[in-house]
Amino acid sequence: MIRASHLTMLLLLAAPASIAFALSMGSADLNLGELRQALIGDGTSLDAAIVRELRLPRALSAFAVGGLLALSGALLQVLLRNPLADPYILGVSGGAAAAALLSILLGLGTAWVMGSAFAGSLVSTFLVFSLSRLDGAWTQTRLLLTGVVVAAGWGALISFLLVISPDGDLHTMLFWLMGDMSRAAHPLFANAILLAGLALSLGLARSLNLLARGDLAAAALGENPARVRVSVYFIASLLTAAAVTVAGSIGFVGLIIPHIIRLLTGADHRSLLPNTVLLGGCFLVLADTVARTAVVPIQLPVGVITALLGVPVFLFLLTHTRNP
Amino acid sequence: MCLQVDRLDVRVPGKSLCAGLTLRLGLGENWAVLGANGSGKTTLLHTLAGLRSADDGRVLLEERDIGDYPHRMRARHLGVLFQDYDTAFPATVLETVLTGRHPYLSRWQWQDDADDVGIAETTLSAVGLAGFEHRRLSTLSGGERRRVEIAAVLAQDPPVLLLDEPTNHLDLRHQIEILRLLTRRRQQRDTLNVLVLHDINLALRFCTHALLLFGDGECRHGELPGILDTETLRDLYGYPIRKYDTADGVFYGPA
Repeated sequence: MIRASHLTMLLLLAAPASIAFALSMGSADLNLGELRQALIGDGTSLDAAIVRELRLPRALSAFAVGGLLALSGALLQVLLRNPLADPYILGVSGGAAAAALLSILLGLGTAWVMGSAFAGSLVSTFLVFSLSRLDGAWTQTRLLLTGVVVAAGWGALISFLLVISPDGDLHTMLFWLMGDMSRAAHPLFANAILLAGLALSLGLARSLNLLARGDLAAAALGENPARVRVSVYFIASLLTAAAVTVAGSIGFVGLIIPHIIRLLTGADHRSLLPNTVLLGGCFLVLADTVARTAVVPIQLPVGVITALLGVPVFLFLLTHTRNP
Repeated sequence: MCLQVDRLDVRVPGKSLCAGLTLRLGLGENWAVLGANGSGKTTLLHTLAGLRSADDGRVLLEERDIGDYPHRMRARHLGVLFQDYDTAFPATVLETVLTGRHPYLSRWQWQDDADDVGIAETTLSAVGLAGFEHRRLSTLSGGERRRVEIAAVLAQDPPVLLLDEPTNHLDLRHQIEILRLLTRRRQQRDTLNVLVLHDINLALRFCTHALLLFGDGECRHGELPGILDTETLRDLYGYPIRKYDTADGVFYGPA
Protein backbone atom coordinates (compact mmCIF):
# COMPACT_ATOMS: atom_id res chain seq x y z
CA MET A 1 0.00 0.00 0.00
CA ILE A 2 1.09 3.55 -0.58
CA ARG A 3 0.07 6.58 1.42
CA ALA A 4 -3.19 8.11 0.28
CA SER A 5 -1.85 11.68 0.43
CA HIS A 6 1.11 10.75 -1.79
CA LEU A 7 -1.25 9.23 -4.31
CA THR A 8 -3.39 12.38 -4.24
CA MET A 9 -0.34 14.52 -5.02
CA LEU A 10 0.71 12.19 -7.81
CA LEU A 11 -2.77 12.28 -9.32
CA LEU A 12 -2.94 16.07 -9.03
CA LEU A 13 0.15 16.15 -11.26
CA ALA A 14 -1.18 13.45 -13.56
CA ALA A 15 -4.45 15.29 -14.23
CA PRO A 16 -2.98 18.29 -16.10
CA ALA A 17 -0.41 15.99 -17.72
CA SER A 18 -3.14 13.73 -19.12
CA ILE A 19 -5.03 16.73 -20.44
CA ALA A 20 -1.88 18.14 -22.06
CA PHE A 21 -1.35 14.75 -23.67
CA ALA A 22 -4.93 14.76 -24.98
CA LEU A 23 -4.50 18.27 -26.37
CA SER A 24 -1.30 17.46 -28.23
CA MET A 25 -2.44 14.20 -29.82
CA GLY A 26 -4.57 13.91 -32.94
CA SER A 27 -4.59 14.48 -36.66
CA ALA A 28 -2.13 17.33 -36.05
CA ASP A 29 0.39 16.21 -33.43
CA LEU A 30 1.77 19.13 -31.45
CA ASN A 31 4.91 19.28 -29.37
CA LEU A 32 4.91 21.14 -26.05
CA GLY A 33 6.01 24.44 -27.56
CA GLU A 34 3.34 24.32 -30.26
CA LEU A 35 0.75 23.35 -27.67
CA ARG A 36 1.69 26.28 -25.48
CA GLN A 37 1.53 28.59 -28.49
CA ALA A 38 -1.89 27.23 -29.45
CA LEU A 39 -3.26 27.66 -25.95
CA ILE A 40 -1.94 31.09 -24.98
CA GLY A 41 -0.97 32.58 -28.34
CA ASP A 42 -3.09 35.07 -30.26
CA GLY A 43 -5.38 32.24 -31.31
CA THR A 44 -5.41 32.82 -35.04
CA SER A 45 -3.60 29.68 -36.12
CA LEU A 46 -5.30 26.46 -37.19
CA ASP A 47 -3.65 24.68 -34.25
CA ALA A 48 -5.21 27.13 -31.84
CA ALA A 49 -8.65 26.52 -33.29
CA ILE A 50 -8.24 22.74 -33.08
CA VAL A 51 -6.94 22.81 -29.54
CA ARG A 52 -9.27 25.42 -28.10
CA GLU A 53 -12.50 24.54 -29.86
CA LEU A 54 -12.23 20.79 -30.29
CA ARG A 55 -9.67 19.10 -28.10
CA LEU A 56 -9.88 21.18 -24.91
CA PRO A 57 -13.66 20.94 -24.39
CA ARG A 58 -13.53 17.26 -25.22
CA ALA A 59 -10.65 16.55 -22.83
CA LEU A 60 -12.26 18.49 -20.01
CA SER A 61 -15.55 16.67 -20.61
CA ALA A 62 -13.76 13.34 -20.61
CA PHE A 63 -12.11 14.20 -17.30
CA ALA A 64 -15.45 15.14 -15.77
CA VAL A 65 -17.21 12.03 -17.08
CA GLY A 66 -14.43 9.76 -15.81
CA GLY A 67 -14.61 11.44 -12.40
CA LEU A 68 -18.40 11.23 -12.30
CA LEU A 69 -18.48 7.54 -13.16
CA ALA A 70 -15.69 6.58 -10.76
CA LEU A 71 -17.21 8.55 -7.87
CA SER A 72 -20.66 7.15 -8.54
CA GLY A 73 -19.24 3.62 -8.61
CA ALA A 74 -17.40 4.12 -5.32
CA LEU A 75 -20.58 5.41 -3.67
CA LEU A 76 -22.81 2.64 -5.02
CA GLN A 77 -20.36 -0.07 -4.01
CA VAL A 78 -20.57 0.99 -0.38
CA LEU A 79 -24.31 1.76 -0.56
CA LEU A 80 -25.09 -1.72 -1.89
CA ARG A 81 -22.20 -3.27 0.04
CA ASN A 82 -21.38 -5.03 -3.18
CA PRO A 83 -17.98 -4.82 -4.86
CA LEU A 84 -19.59 -5.61 -8.23
CA ALA A 85 -21.78 -2.53 -8.20
CA ASP A 86 -21.16 -0.04 -10.99
CA PRO A 87 -22.89 3.27 -11.85
CA TYR A 88 -25.34 1.50 -14.16
CA ILE A 89 -26.43 -1.30 -11.88
CA LEU A 90 -29.57 0.42 -10.62
CA GLY A 91 -30.95 1.29 -14.05
CA VAL A 92 -30.03 4.98 -14.20
CA SER A 93 -28.25 4.54 -17.51
CA GLY A 94 -30.99 2.27 -18.85
CA GLY A 95 -33.57 5.00 -18.40
CA ALA A 96 -31.23 7.49 -20.02
CA ALA A 97 -30.45 5.18 -22.95
CA ALA A 98 -34.08 4.32 -23.64
CA ALA A 99 -35.02 8.02 -23.68
CA ALA A 100 -32.00 8.97 -25.79
CA LEU A 101 -32.61 6.23 -28.35
CA LEU A 102 -36.24 7.22 -28.62
CA SER A 103 -35.20 10.82 -29.37
CA ILE A 104 -32.69 9.62 -31.97
CA LEU A 105 -35.43 7.50 -33.53
CA LEU A 106 -37.73 10.52 -33.63
CA GLY A 107 -34.97 12.44 -35.40
CA LEU A 108 -34.49 15.07 -32.69
CA GLY A 109 -31.30 17.11 -32.42
CA THR A 110 -28.33 16.58 -30.09
CA ALA A 111 -29.61 18.95 -27.41
CA TRP A 112 -32.91 17.07 -27.33
CA VAL A 113 -31.16 13.72 -27.13
CA MET A 114 -29.08 14.91 -24.19
CA GLY A 115 -32.06 16.50 -22.48
CA SER A 116 -34.15 13.36 -22.77
CA ALA A 117 -31.25 11.21 -21.58
CA PHE A 118 -31.01 13.32 -18.43
CA ALA A 119 -34.79 13.22 -17.93
CA GLY A 120 -34.84 9.47 -18.53
CA SER A 121 -32.17 8.84 -15.93
CA LEU A 122 -34.04 10.92 -13.35
CA VAL A 123 -37.29 9.04 -14.09
CA SER A 124 -35.49 5.77 -13.54
CA THR A 125 -33.88 7.05 -10.32
CA PHE A 126 -37.23 8.00 -8.78
CA LEU A 127 -38.92 4.85 -10.09
CA VAL A 128 -36.37 2.58 -8.41
CA PHE A 129 -36.40 4.68 -5.24
CA SER A 130 -40.17 4.55 -4.79
CA LEU A 131 -40.52 0.88 -5.80
CA SER A 132 -37.81 -0.24 -3.39
CA ARG A 133 -39.41 1.68 -0.53
CA LEU A 134 -42.89 0.28 -0.96
CA ASP A 135 -42.72 -1.95 2.12
CA GLY A 136 -41.04 0.68 4.27
CA ALA A 137 -37.92 -1.39 4.83
CA TRP A 138 -35.31 0.11 2.55
CA THR A 139 -32.71 -2.61 2.59
CA GLN A 140 -29.79 -2.82 0.24
CA THR A 141 -30.87 -6.21 -1.09
CA ARG A 142 -34.29 -4.85 -1.98
CA LEU A 143 -32.76 -1.78 -3.59
CA LEU A 144 -30.30 -3.89 -5.56
CA LEU A 145 -32.99 -6.29 -6.80
CA THR A 146 -35.38 -3.48 -7.72
CA GLY A 147 -32.63 -1.62 -9.56
CA VAL A 148 -31.43 -4.67 -11.43
CA VAL A 149 -34.97 -5.62 -12.49
CA VAL A 150 -35.79 -2.08 -13.63
CA ALA A 151 -32.48 -2.02 -15.53
CA ALA A 152 -33.45 -5.28 -17.23
CA GLY A 153 -36.76 -3.68 -18.22
CA TRP A 154 -34.93 -0.74 -19.80
CA GLY A 155 -32.65 -3.24 -21.54
CA ALA A 156 -35.62 -4.89 -23.19
CA LEU A 157 -37.00 -1.53 -24.27
CA ILE A 158 -33.59 -0.59 -25.71
CA SER A 159 -33.43 -3.81 -27.73
CA PHE A 160 -36.92 -3.15 -29.01
CA LEU A 161 -35.96 0.37 -30.10
CA LEU A 162 -32.83 -0.94 -31.83
CA VAL A 163 -34.83 -3.54 -33.74
CA ILE A 164 -37.47 -1.14 -35.05
CA SER A 165 -34.98 1.64 -35.90
CA PRO A 166 -33.94 2.30 -39.50
CA ASP A 167 -30.37 1.32 -40.42
CA GLY A 168 -29.35 4.96 -40.73
CA ASP A 169 -29.89 5.60 -37.01
CA LEU A 170 -28.27 2.39 -35.78
CA HIS A 171 -24.69 3.61 -35.92
CA THR A 172 -25.50 6.68 -33.81
CA MET A 173 -27.46 4.52 -31.38
CA LEU A 174 -24.70 1.94 -30.97
CA PHE A 175 -22.14 4.66 -30.34
CA TRP A 176 -24.45 6.13 -27.75
CA LEU A 177 -24.85 2.76 -26.04
CA MET A 178 -21.12 2.01 -26.04
CA GLY A 179 -20.21 5.42 -24.70
CA ASP A 180 -18.70 8.12 -26.84
CA MET A 181 -17.20 11.52 -26.13
CA SER A 182 -17.56 13.04 -29.59
CA ARG A 183 -20.73 15.00 -28.71
CA ALA A 184 -19.23 16.47 -25.55
CA ALA A 185 -18.71 20.08 -26.54
CA HIS A 186 -19.68 21.82 -23.31
CA PRO A 187 -17.61 20.65 -20.36
CA LEU A 188 -19.13 23.09 -17.86
CA PHE A 189 -22.25 21.07 -16.99
CA ALA A 190 -20.47 17.80 -16.20
CA ASN A 191 -17.67 19.51 -14.28
CA ALA A 192 -20.12 21.52 -12.18
CA ILE A 193 -22.08 18.37 -11.25
CA LEU A 194 -18.80 16.59 -10.49
CA LEU A 195 -17.63 19.33 -8.13
CA ALA A 196 -20.98 19.53 -6.36
CA GLY A 197 -21.19 15.74 -6.06
CA LEU A 198 -17.66 15.46 -4.74
CA ALA A 199 -18.25 18.19 -2.15
CA LEU A 200 -21.46 16.56 -0.94
CA SER A 201 -19.99 13.08 -0.76
CA LEU A 202 -16.88 14.32 1.04
CA GLY A 203 -19.23 15.58 3.74
CA LEU A 204 -20.47 12.00 4.03
CA ALA A 205 -17.05 10.37 3.83
CA ARG A 206 -16.69 9.49 7.50
CA SER A 207 -20.29 8.28 7.63
CA LEU A 208 -19.54 6.01 4.68
CA ASN A 209 -16.60 4.54 6.60
CA LEU A 210 -19.07 3.62 9.34
CA LEU A 211 -21.69 2.35 6.91
CA ALA A 212 -19.09 -0.02 5.46
CA ARG A 213 -19.02 -1.79 8.85
CA GLY A 214 -22.79 -2.36 8.78
CA ASP A 215 -25.96 -0.36 9.35
CA LEU A 216 -26.33 -1.24 13.03
CA ALA A 217 -22.68 -0.47 13.75
CA ALA A 218 -23.11 2.92 12.06
CA ALA A 219 -26.26 3.63 14.07
CA ALA A 220 -24.53 2.71 17.32
CA LEU A 221 -21.78 5.21 16.50
CA GLY A 222 -24.20 8.07 16.10
CA GLU A 223 -25.08 7.94 12.40
CA ASN A 224 -28.53 7.78 10.91
CA PRO A 225 -27.92 5.05 8.32
CA ALA A 226 -31.24 5.52 6.53
CA ARG A 227 -30.55 9.19 5.94
CA VAL A 228 -27.00 8.55 4.73
CA ARG A 229 -28.23 5.86 2.36
CA VAL A 230 -30.90 8.07 0.79
CA SER A 231 -28.38 10.89 0.33
CA VAL A 232 -25.82 8.55 -1.20
CA TYR A 233 -28.41 7.04 -3.52
CA PHE A 234 -29.47 10.39 -4.92
CA ILE A 235 -25.93 11.78 -5.19
CA ALA A 236 -24.73 8.67 -7.03
CA SER A 237 -27.75 8.69 -9.34
CA LEU A 238 -27.23 12.34 -10.22
CA LEU A 239 -23.54 11.72 -10.95
CA THR A 240 -24.41 8.82 -13.23
CA ALA A 241 -27.17 10.80 -14.92
CA ALA A 242 -24.76 13.64 -15.72
CA ALA A 243 -22.14 11.25 -17.08
CA VAL A 244 -24.61 9.32 -19.23
CA THR A 245 -26.12 12.52 -20.56
CA VAL A 246 -22.75 13.77 -21.78
CA ALA A 247 -21.21 10.56 -23.03
CA GLY A 248 -23.64 7.65 -23.06
CA SER A 249 -22.88 4.47 -21.13
CA ILE A 250 -19.11 4.18 -20.84
CA GLY A 251 -18.48 0.90 -19.09
CA PHE A 252 -15.78 -0.24 -16.73
CA VAL A 253 -14.55 3.10 -15.31
CA GLY A 254 -17.04 3.17 -12.44
CA LEU A 255 -16.48 -0.47 -11.56
CA ILE A 256 -12.70 -0.64 -11.65
CA ILE A 257 -11.30 2.74 -10.62
CA PRO A 258 -12.60 2.59 -7.01
CA HIS A 259 -11.14 -0.90 -6.66
CA ILE A 260 -7.75 0.25 -7.96
CA ILE A 261 -7.68 3.02 -5.34
CA ARG A 262 -8.74 0.58 -2.61
CA LEU A 263 -5.97 -1.81 -3.63
CA LEU A 264 -3.42 1.01 -3.58
CA THR A 265 -4.37 2.94 -0.44
CA GLY A 266 -7.21 1.23 1.42
CA ALA A 267 -10.87 2.00 1.89
CA ASP A 268 -10.95 5.20 3.95
CA HIS A 269 -13.52 7.23 2.01
CA ARG A 270 -11.97 10.55 2.97
CA SER A 271 -9.08 9.82 0.63
CA LEU A 272 -10.77 7.17 -1.52
CA LEU A 273 -13.39 9.53 -2.97
CA PRO A 274 -11.11 12.36 -4.17
CA ASN A 275 -8.46 9.93 -5.43
CA THR A 276 -11.14 8.00 -7.27
CA VAL A 277 -12.34 11.16 -9.01
CA LEU A 278 -8.80 12.11 -10.06
CA LEU A 279 -7.85 8.67 -11.34
CA GLY A 280 -11.20 8.22 -13.09
CA GLY A 281 -10.74 11.58 -14.82
CA CYS A 282 -7.15 10.90 -15.94
CA PHE A 283 -8.05 7.42 -17.10
CA LEU A 284 -10.93 8.54 -19.28
CA VAL A 285 -8.93 11.41 -20.79
CA LEU A 286 -6.23 8.93 -21.83
CA ALA A 287 -8.75 6.36 -23.04
CA ASP A 288 -10.58 8.96 -25.11
CA THR A 289 -7.32 10.17 -26.63
CA VAL A 290 -6.51 6.62 -27.66
CA ALA A 291 -10.07 6.18 -28.95
CA ARG A 292 -9.82 9.10 -31.35
CA THR A 293 -6.22 8.54 -32.48
CA ALA A 294 -5.62 4.79 -32.55
CA VAL A 295 -7.32 3.86 -35.82
CA VAL A 296 -7.18 7.03 -37.91
CA PRO A 297 -9.45 8.15 -39.44
CA ILE A 298 -12.01 6.06 -37.56
CA GLN A 299 -13.03 7.32 -34.11
CA LEU A 300 -13.67 4.38 -31.82
CA PRO A 301 -16.25 4.59 -29.05
CA VAL A 302 -14.28 5.24 -25.87
CA GLY A 303 -16.16 2.46 -24.04
CA VAL A 304 -14.23 -0.06 -26.12
CA ILE A 305 -10.91 1.44 -25.04
CA THR A 306 -11.75 1.71 -21.32
CA ALA A 307 -12.19 -2.03 -21.12
CA LEU A 308 -9.21 -2.84 -23.35
CA LEU A 309 -6.93 -0.65 -21.23
CA GLY A 310 -8.58 -1.26 -17.89
CA VAL A 311 -8.75 -5.05 -17.83
CA PRO A 312 -4.99 -5.71 -17.98
CA VAL A 313 -4.16 -2.84 -15.62
CA PHE A 314 -6.65 -4.04 -13.05
CA LEU A 315 -5.62 -7.68 -13.30
CA PHE A 316 -1.98 -6.68 -12.88
CA LEU A 317 -2.75 -4.72 -9.72
CA LEU A 318 -4.95 -7.47 -8.35
CA THR A 319 -2.19 -10.05 -8.68
CA HIS A 320 0.71 -7.81 -7.67
CA THR A 321 -0.70 -6.04 -4.63
CA ARG A 322 0.16 -7.71 -1.36
CA ASN A 323 -1.63 -7.00 1.87
CA PRO A 324 0.94 -5.73 4.37
CA MET B 1 -26.58 7.93 34.56
CA CYS B 2 -28.50 4.71 34.59
CA LEU B 3 -30.45 2.54 32.23
CA GLN B 4 -34.04 1.86 33.22
CA VAL B 5 -36.33 -0.69 31.68
CA ASP B 6 -40.01 -0.07 32.25
CA ARG B 7 -42.55 -2.86 31.52
CA LEU B 8 -40.63 -3.78 28.39
CA ASP B 9 -42.00 -6.29 25.88
CA VAL B 10 -39.69 -7.65 23.23
CA ARG B 11 -41.28 -9.85 20.59
CA VAL B 12 -40.19 -11.43 17.35
CA PRO B 13 -42.75 -12.90 14.94
CA GLY B 14 -44.50 -15.79 16.67
CA LYS B 15 -42.59 -15.50 19.91
CA SER B 16 -42.37 -13.35 23.00
CA LEU B 17 -38.78 -12.97 24.21
CA CYS B 18 -39.45 -10.92 27.29
CA ALA B 19 -42.71 -9.62 28.70
CA GLY B 20 -43.24 -6.85 31.22
CA LEU B 21 -39.58 -6.57 32.16
CA THR B 22 -38.93 -3.83 34.69
CA LEU B 23 -35.36 -3.31 35.72
CA ARG B 24 -32.88 -0.68 36.81
CA LEU B 25 -29.25 -1.01 35.74
CA GLY B 26 -27.02 1.42 37.59
CA LEU B 27 -23.53 2.74 37.13
CA GLY B 28 -20.87 0.65 38.80
CA GLU B 29 -22.70 -2.58 37.95
CA ASN B 30 -21.70 -5.40 35.64
CA TRP B 31 -24.68 -7.25 34.21
CA ALA B 32 -24.46 -10.67 32.61
CA VAL B 33 -27.22 -11.60 30.16
CA LEU B 34 -27.55 -15.37 30.05
CA GLY B 35 -29.81 -17.61 28.00
CA ALA B 36 -29.89 -20.39 25.43
CA ASN B 37 -29.41 -19.82 21.70
CA GLY B 38 -32.35 -17.91 20.27
CA SER B 39 -33.64 -16.80 23.66
CA GLY B 40 -33.44 -13.14 22.59
CA LYS B 41 -30.25 -11.90 24.22
CA THR B 42 -29.09 -9.98 21.15
CA THR B 43 -32.56 -8.63 20.34
CA LEU B 44 -32.91 -7.41 23.93
CA LEU B 45 -29.48 -5.80 23.78
CA HIS B 46 -30.38 -3.96 20.55
CA THR B 47 -33.61 -2.78 22.19
CA LEU B 48 -31.69 -1.50 25.22
CA ALA B 49 -29.34 0.31 22.83
CA GLY B 50 -32.23 2.06 21.07
CA LEU B 51 -31.35 0.39 17.76
CA ARG B 52 -34.68 -1.41 17.71
CA SER B 53 -37.91 0.01 19.07
CA ALA B 54 -39.61 -1.66 22.05
CA ASP B 55 -42.74 -3.65 21.22
CA ASP B 56 -44.25 -2.29 24.42
CA GLY B 57 -42.95 -0.39 27.42
CA ARG B 58 -39.94 1.87 27.49
CA VAL B 59 -36.18 2.01 27.83
CA LEU B 60 -34.92 5.11 29.62
CA LEU B 61 -31.38 6.38 29.59
CA GLU B 62 -31.04 8.87 32.42
CA GLU B 63 -34.82 9.39 32.73
CA ARG B 64 -35.18 10.06 29.01
CA ASP B 65 -36.61 7.68 26.41
CA ILE B 66 -33.70 6.14 24.48
CA GLY B 67 -35.56 6.73 21.21
CA ASP B 68 -35.67 10.49 21.86
CA TYR B 69 -31.91 10.91 21.83
CA PRO B 70 -30.27 12.29 18.70
CA HIS B 71 -28.10 9.42 17.43
CA ARG B 72 -24.85 11.24 17.94
CA MET B 73 -25.63 12.21 21.53
CA ARG B 74 -26.80 8.68 22.30
CA ALA B 75 -23.49 7.36 21.00
CA ARG B 76 -21.64 9.49 23.53
CA HIS B 77 -23.61 7.92 26.38
CA LEU B 78 -23.95 4.37 25.20
CA GLY B 79 -21.75 2.09 23.11
CA VAL B 80 -22.48 -1.30 21.59
CA LEU B 81 -20.17 -4.16 20.71
CA PHE B 82 -21.92 -6.31 18.11
CA GLN B 83 -21.59 -10.02 17.62
CA ASP B 84 -20.10 -9.50 14.19
CA TYR B 85 -19.27 -6.78 11.73
CA ASP B 86 -19.35 -6.36 8.00
CA THR B 87 -15.94 -6.73 6.41
CA ALA B 88 -16.82 -6.28 2.74
CA PHE B 89 -14.22 -3.54 2.29
CA PRO B 90 -10.62 -3.50 3.49
CA ALA B 91 -9.81 -1.34 6.52
CA THR B 92 -6.79 -1.02 8.74
CA VAL B 93 -6.79 -1.61 12.49
CA LEU B 94 -6.28 2.08 13.28
CA GLU B 95 -9.07 3.18 10.90
CA THR B 96 -11.42 0.75 12.57
CA VAL B 97 -10.59 1.85 16.12
CA LEU B 98 -10.89 5.51 15.09
CA THR B 99 -14.52 4.92 14.05
CA GLY B 100 -15.15 4.87 17.80
CA ARG B 101 -14.34 8.59 17.91
CA HIS B 102 -17.01 9.42 15.32
CA PRO B 103 -19.63 10.68 17.84
CA TYR B 104 -17.22 13.39 19.02
CA LEU B 105 -16.31 14.80 15.60
CA SER B 106 -18.18 17.32 13.49
CA ARG B 107 -19.14 16.45 9.94
CA TRP B 108 -16.42 18.57 8.36
CA GLN B 109 -13.67 17.65 10.76
CA TRP B 110 -11.35 16.19 8.22
CA GLN B 111 -8.09 14.95 9.64
CA ASP B 112 -7.91 12.58 12.55
CA ASP B 113 -7.10 14.57 15.63
CA ALA B 114 -3.78 13.73 17.31
CA ASP B 115 -5.79 13.27 20.54
CA ASP B 116 -8.09 10.76 18.86
CA VAL B 117 -5.17 8.83 17.42
CA GLY B 118 -3.64 8.85 20.91
CA ILE B 119 -6.84 7.44 22.40
CA ALA B 120 -7.00 4.78 19.69
CA GLU B 121 -3.40 3.75 20.33
CA THR B 122 -3.99 3.58 24.08
CA THR B 123 -7.03 1.34 23.72
CA LEU B 124 -5.17 -0.85 21.22
CA SER B 125 -2.36 -1.45 23.67
CA ALA B 126 -4.95 -2.04 26.42
CA VAL B 127 -6.31 -4.99 24.42
CA GLY B 128 -2.77 -6.20 23.68
CA LEU B 129 -2.56 -5.03 20.07
CA ALA B 130 0.07 -2.29 20.24
CA GLY B 131 1.95 -2.14 16.96
CA PHE B 132 -0.97 -3.52 14.92
CA GLU B 133 -2.18 -0.04 13.85
CA HIS B 134 -1.45 -0.34 10.15
CA ARG B 135 -2.32 -3.98 9.64
CA ARG B 136 -5.37 -4.73 7.55
CA LEU B 137 -8.25 -6.41 9.37
CA SER B 138 -8.29 -9.21 6.82
CA THR B 139 -4.79 -10.26 7.90
CA LEU B 140 -5.75 -10.70 11.57
CA SER B 141 -6.97 -13.82 13.32
CA GLY B 142 -10.56 -14.00 14.58
CA GLY B 143 -9.53 -13.29 18.15
CA GLU B 144 -7.32 -10.36 17.16
CA ARG B 145 -10.13 -8.89 15.08
CA ARG B 146 -12.47 -9.25 18.07
CA ARG B 147 -10.02 -7.31 20.22
CA VAL B 148 -9.83 -4.56 17.57
CA GLU B 149 -13.62 -4.23 17.80
CA ILE B 150 -13.40 -4.07 21.59
CA ALA B 151 -10.70 -1.39 21.29
CA ALA B 152 -13.04 0.60 19.01
CA VAL B 153 -15.88 0.57 21.53
CA LEU B 154 -13.42 1.47 24.32
CA ALA B 155 -12.22 4.41 22.21
CA GLN B 156 -15.85 5.50 22.01
CA ASP B 157 -15.61 5.57 25.82
CA PRO B 158 -19.27 5.89 26.84
CA PRO B 159 -20.44 5.40 30.44
CA VAL B 160 -22.77 2.60 29.35
CA LEU B 161 -21.39 -0.33 27.35
CA LEU B 162 -23.57 -3.10 25.89
CA LEU B 163 -21.38 -5.98 24.75
CA ASP B 164 -22.71 -8.91 22.75
CA GLU B 165 -20.49 -11.90 23.46
CA PRO B 166 -17.28 -9.92 24.02
CA THR B 167 -15.34 -13.14 24.62
CA ASN B 168 -16.24 -14.63 21.23
CA HIS B 169 -13.16 -16.02 19.44
CA LEU B 170 -10.91 -15.12 22.38
CA ASP B 171 -8.51 -17.63 23.87
CA LEU B 172 -8.61 -18.37 27.58
CA ARG B 173 -6.05 -15.78 28.57
CA HIS B 174 -7.61 -13.01 26.51
CA GLN B 175 -11.10 -13.82 27.78
CA ILE B 176 -9.89 -13.12 31.30
CA GLU B 177 -7.81 -10.09 30.31
CA ILE B 178 -10.61 -8.44 28.35
CA LEU B 179 -13.18 -9.01 31.08
CA ARG B 180 -10.69 -7.76 33.66
CA LEU B 181 -10.12 -4.65 31.53
CA LEU B 182 -13.85 -3.97 31.36
CA THR B 183 -14.34 -4.59 35.08
CA ARG B 184 -11.43 -2.38 36.00
CA ARG B 185 -12.89 0.38 33.84
CA ARG B 186 -16.16 -0.02 35.73
CA GLN B 187 -14.44 0.32 39.09
CA GLN B 188 -12.27 3.28 38.12
CA ARG B 189 -14.79 5.23 36.11
CA ASP B 190 -18.11 4.13 37.52
CA THR B 191 -19.49 2.74 34.29
CA LEU B 192 -22.19 0.21 33.50
CA ASN B 193 -21.43 -2.93 31.49
CA VAL B 194 -24.06 -5.28 30.11
CA LEU B 195 -22.43 -8.42 28.77
CA VAL B 196 -24.06 -11.22 26.83
CA LEU B 197 -22.11 -14.30 27.92
CA HIS B 198 -22.26 -18.02 27.35
CA ASP B 199 -19.88 -18.93 30.14
CA ILE B 200 -21.61 -19.15 33.52
CA ASN B 201 -18.30 -19.21 35.39
CA LEU B 202 -17.03 -16.03 33.72
CA ALA B 203 -20.33 -14.37 34.62
CA LEU B 204 -19.90 -15.47 38.24
CA ARG B 205 -16.34 -14.24 38.34
CA PHE B 206 -16.77 -10.84 36.74
CA CYS B 207 -20.39 -9.75 37.03
CA THR B 208 -22.39 -8.27 39.88
CA HIS B 209 -25.85 -9.00 38.47
CA ALA B 210 -27.45 -11.34 35.97
CA LEU B 211 -30.48 -11.20 33.68
CA LEU B 212 -31.73 -14.62 32.63
CA LEU B 213 -33.80 -15.06 29.47
CA PHE B 214 -35.75 -18.30 29.31
CA GLY B 215 -36.88 -17.82 25.72
CA ASP B 216 -40.64 -17.98 26.44
CA GLY B 217 -41.09 -14.42 27.68
CA GLU B 218 -39.99 -15.24 31.21
CA CYS B 219 -37.05 -13.18 32.50
CA ARG B 220 -35.44 -13.26 35.91
CA HIS B 221 -32.87 -10.90 37.27
CA GLY B 222 -30.95 -10.38 40.46
CA GLU B 223 -27.59 -10.24 42.11
CA LEU B 224 -24.89 -12.79 41.54
CA PRO B 225 -24.22 -15.39 42.72
CA GLY B 226 -27.54 -15.65 44.58
CA ILE B 227 -29.75 -15.84 41.50
CA LEU B 228 -28.00 -18.91 40.07
CA ASP B 229 -28.56 -22.51 41.16
CA THR B 230 -28.56 -25.81 39.33
CA GLU B 231 -32.34 -25.94 38.79
CA THR B 232 -32.50 -22.40 37.39
CA LEU B 233 -29.59 -23.12 35.07
CA ARG B 234 -31.13 -26.42 33.94
CA ASP B 235 -34.34 -24.60 33.03
CA LEU B 236 -32.36 -21.82 31.37
CA TYR B 237 -30.30 -24.04 29.08
CA GLY B 238 -32.58 -27.09 28.87
CA TYR B 239 -29.71 -29.29 29.95
CA PRO B 240 -28.71 -30.73 33.36
CA ILE B 241 -26.06 -28.67 35.14
CA ARG B 242 -23.75 -29.79 37.89
CA LYS B 243 -22.36 -27.56 40.62
CA TYR B 244 -18.76 -27.92 41.81
CA ASP B 245 -17.98 -26.49 45.23
CA THR B 246 -14.22 -26.04 45.47
CA ALA B 247 -11.79 -24.26 47.73
CA ASP B 248 -11.49 -21.60 44.96
CA GLY B 249 -15.22 -21.01 44.78
CA VAL B 250 -18.29 -22.35 43.03
CA PHE B 251 -18.20 -23.57 39.42
CA TYR B 252 -20.97 -24.84 37.16
CA GLY B 253 -20.55 -27.28 34.32
CA PRO B 254 -22.71 -29.44 32.05
CA ALA B 255 -23.57 -32.78 33.64
